[in-house]
Amino acid sequence: MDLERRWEARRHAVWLMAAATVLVMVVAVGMGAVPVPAGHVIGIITGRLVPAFAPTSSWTASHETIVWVIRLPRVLLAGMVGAALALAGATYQGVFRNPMADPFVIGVSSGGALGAVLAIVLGWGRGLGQYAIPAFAFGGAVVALALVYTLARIDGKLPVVTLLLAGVAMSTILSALVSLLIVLSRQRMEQVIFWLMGGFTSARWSSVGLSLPYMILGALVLLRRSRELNVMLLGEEAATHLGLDVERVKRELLAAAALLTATAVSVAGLIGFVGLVIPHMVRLTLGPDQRWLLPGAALTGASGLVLADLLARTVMVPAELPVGVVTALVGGPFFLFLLVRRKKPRR
Amino acid sequence: MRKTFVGLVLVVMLVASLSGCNWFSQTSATPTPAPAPPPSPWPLAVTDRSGQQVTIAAQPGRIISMAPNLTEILFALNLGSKVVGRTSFCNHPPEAAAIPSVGDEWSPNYELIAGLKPDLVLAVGTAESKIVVESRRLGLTTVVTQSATIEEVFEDIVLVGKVAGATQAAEQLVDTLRGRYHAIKEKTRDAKDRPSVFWVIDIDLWTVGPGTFMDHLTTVAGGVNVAASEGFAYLQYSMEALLAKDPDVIIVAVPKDEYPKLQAKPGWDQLSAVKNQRVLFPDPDVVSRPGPRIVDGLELVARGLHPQLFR
Repeated sequence: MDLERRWEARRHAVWLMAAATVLVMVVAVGMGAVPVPAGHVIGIITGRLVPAFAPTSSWTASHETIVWVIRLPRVLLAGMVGAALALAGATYQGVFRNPMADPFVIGVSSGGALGAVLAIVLGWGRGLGQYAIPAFAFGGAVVALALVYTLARIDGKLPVVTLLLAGVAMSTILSALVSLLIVLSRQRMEQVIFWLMGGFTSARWSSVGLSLPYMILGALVLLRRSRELNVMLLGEEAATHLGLDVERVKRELLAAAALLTATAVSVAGLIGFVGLVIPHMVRLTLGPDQRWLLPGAALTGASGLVLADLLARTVMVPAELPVGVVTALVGGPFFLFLLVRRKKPRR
Repeated sequence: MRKTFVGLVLVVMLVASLSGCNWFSQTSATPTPAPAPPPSPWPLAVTDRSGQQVTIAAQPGRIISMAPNLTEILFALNLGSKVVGRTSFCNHPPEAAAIPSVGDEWSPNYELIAGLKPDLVLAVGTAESKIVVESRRLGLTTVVTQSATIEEVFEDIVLVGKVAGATQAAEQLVDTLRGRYHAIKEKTRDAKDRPSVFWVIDIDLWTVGPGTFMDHLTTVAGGVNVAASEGFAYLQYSMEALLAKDPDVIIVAVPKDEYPKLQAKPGWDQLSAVKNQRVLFPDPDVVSRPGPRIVDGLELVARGLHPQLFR
């Protein structure tokens, strides 16, 4: 009886999160440095989506550009990246059974950073035009991960501790290379630093379209494997005794999480904190059951990052804050608040 | 890694505040063809410094300037009233402060840019620069400038004048500037000595190497940049290395409030240039910004290197 009620409560909570995510996205499309009336925003979007229903346009061309070319892809991309990072973070925390794990823990960020910096500083992949940096960031992330996995593999198994250590060592080496390249090329320094700080200023429809398939694939694998991830939380040995093919499940989970992270890094640079803290926030409200935690983390990550980006682009107009600064400055205290409140004895 | 980045960000911001413009590139694209335009040049087609053919439909009435040197050029051509947006680095002339800012040169607010409905966006960079790519993506008429030498600054002034509808004013301004430029060049060409020069572009002794605007300025002013043969455009010296080079003249292009920190560095007092009082403290913008004040900057440097020639 009690169990059933708790199940219901979690279901409601996840629906609430979904509703909140939609609401946050709508608000974020409606707000920005240039005020565009809500009616115009709705008109512009419906007009683009279903030209047949296009209302008579009473708005200016620049408003249309702002809403359709700048804001909407930006909000969607922020939502996708937030969901991807939170999902990947929750998965890594589960697989490694380590609360400090985040999407960047096994070298994805530094691999992606090195790829991007090679494209920016040495001009690799010029021929790819605007896709050079995302393509190299993605490639760098994947290569770094492949290296870490290969190094950590022992007798066909992937021991968690070796994986973490190999990841940390690889991150350190790659970060040093990034720093070296930055120092050697001061004329491109500002571009590199803005990339490394992450953000959505150059979000566009093509980045949404290109990253969506990878994100959906990664997310589907993780959500389908949430039950197995629950079992893995008992420890690998116990999971094996319960009849789980631990190595296979682990490979799938890590690959899917890595795909999500690499995609996020390639379109948005390094945005910290979301992947670390959102899963913890959701765990504090929904409990550790991965079947609720994963969708909850995806939704909260999406709304959280959309909100952070909204703040980043509106609080200091005309300047834009790096979105990573906002996630840490707003998300940090909120997380601490949840933590402290939980410490109080429950009645 | 994070901490290093924060440090680097500060360095970059610092350089930005003192230069606020892109004197990084060494590219020298083909200059624009400059036949005198007929009475009504619109629509006007030009090839800008990014190599892009740009068509300007009619005389622009709403211009956004995406670099401080471009803002200075526009004001020098009496086009200040047509500038509807500028960067936060655009601090000269003082009237520019009244124009709404769209953010800094590297991460401007594109929503504001689109919202200002400009019919011309002027930027410094290349075809790949983010501001250029984004501005063109928004469908805005975007003209790119780029100068690594004083002659190229003149070309950029002419280009800006042409696309903004002030060809005559631009040509007049360039004539005056070029006259002064050649006068200085002639004086310094005959100088017997070539003093060695070290530029301080931030107080951690970052300096300018070959291919930079300041390196070029030094050569024209009749000096030799001590870092001219280094492999990098921007590099950092240690105080030891600086003492070993012991330049004749030091040019400190950092904001005024940072002078004390520089002068307190161990070893600074031992430099010959300091002992002989041959340290110049110019306004960093004047010596680094490829705009109409650059000849003032050149004169300042030349006078500092060869005081006897400018009596």
